[in-house]
Amino acid sequence: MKNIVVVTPKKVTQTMVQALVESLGGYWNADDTLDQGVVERGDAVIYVSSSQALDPDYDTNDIAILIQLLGQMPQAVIDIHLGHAPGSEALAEEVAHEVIERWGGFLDDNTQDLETVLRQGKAKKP
Amino acid sequence: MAEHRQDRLELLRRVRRATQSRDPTVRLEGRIARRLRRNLRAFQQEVRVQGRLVGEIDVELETAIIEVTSGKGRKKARQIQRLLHNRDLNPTGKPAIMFGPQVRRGLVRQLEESGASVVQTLNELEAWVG
Repeated sequence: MKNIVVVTPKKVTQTMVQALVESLGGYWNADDTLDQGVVERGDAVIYVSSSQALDPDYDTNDIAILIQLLGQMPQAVIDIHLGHAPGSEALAEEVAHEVIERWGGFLDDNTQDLETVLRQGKAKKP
Repeated sequence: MAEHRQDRLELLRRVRRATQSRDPTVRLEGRIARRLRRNLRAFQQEVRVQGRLVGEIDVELETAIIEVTSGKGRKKARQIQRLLHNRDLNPTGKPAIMFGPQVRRGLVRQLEESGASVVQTLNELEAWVG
C-alpha cells in the first residue's frame, strides 16, 4: 500500500488524530494491534495514525533538513495509508492538507529526496 | 467448483489490470502477484469486521503476506506490525514480507527487528517464497 506522511512542528497525539478522523466522519480502530483511524468516502479509504518517532524513518541528515523546512524540530509524524479503491489518493491529499491546516507541517509523499525539496523551497509551514 | 474458477479468473483479471496502472505502487503489487500467481490467495483485499474496515492486504500467498511500497518505506514498520499481529488481517499467523526496492538500510533493520522479512527484488522474493 502506498502511504504519505505529514511531519508536524507540533506534538500531535493519537487522541488528536482520532478527533480529526471522527470530525471527518471516520472511526477509530482502538485494538492495540491496529490503533488507527479509518476514513471512508464512497469507495475511497484512508488509514490514519500518528507517532512521535522520527528515527529510523528519517536519518540525521533528513532531520536537519526537516528542521529547516519547518523552522523547528519536528514533533510528530502523521501516517496516511491509502486504500486500493479509486479516489483514495485524492482523499489522502485532502486529509493531509487538513492536518497541515490544523497543526502545520511538511507533506512527504515518501518518494521525495528532502534535499531537493529544500533546494526548491517547497516547505509547507503552519 | 465453477464459482471458484470464476473467482480465480476475476482475481487474475484484477492482477493484470494492476500491472497496467499508472500508480507505481499498484503496478508493483500487480507485478509481484503476477510473478507469484501460482501461490496467490488474495490481492488488494479489504478486510472488514462487522462492517468496519480493519485494513487491506496487498498480496497474500499460501505461505506469506506481502506489503508493497515503491517509496522509501517511512512508517511501514507499524503497518508490518499490524499485519503480523492483528488476527483479522492475518488469522493464521503467516509471516509478513516487506517488498520495497527503495527502502534504505536503517529502515530495513527496523523492519527486520519488527519481525518482517525485507525483500528488494522480484528474484529475491521468488527465492524466499520457494
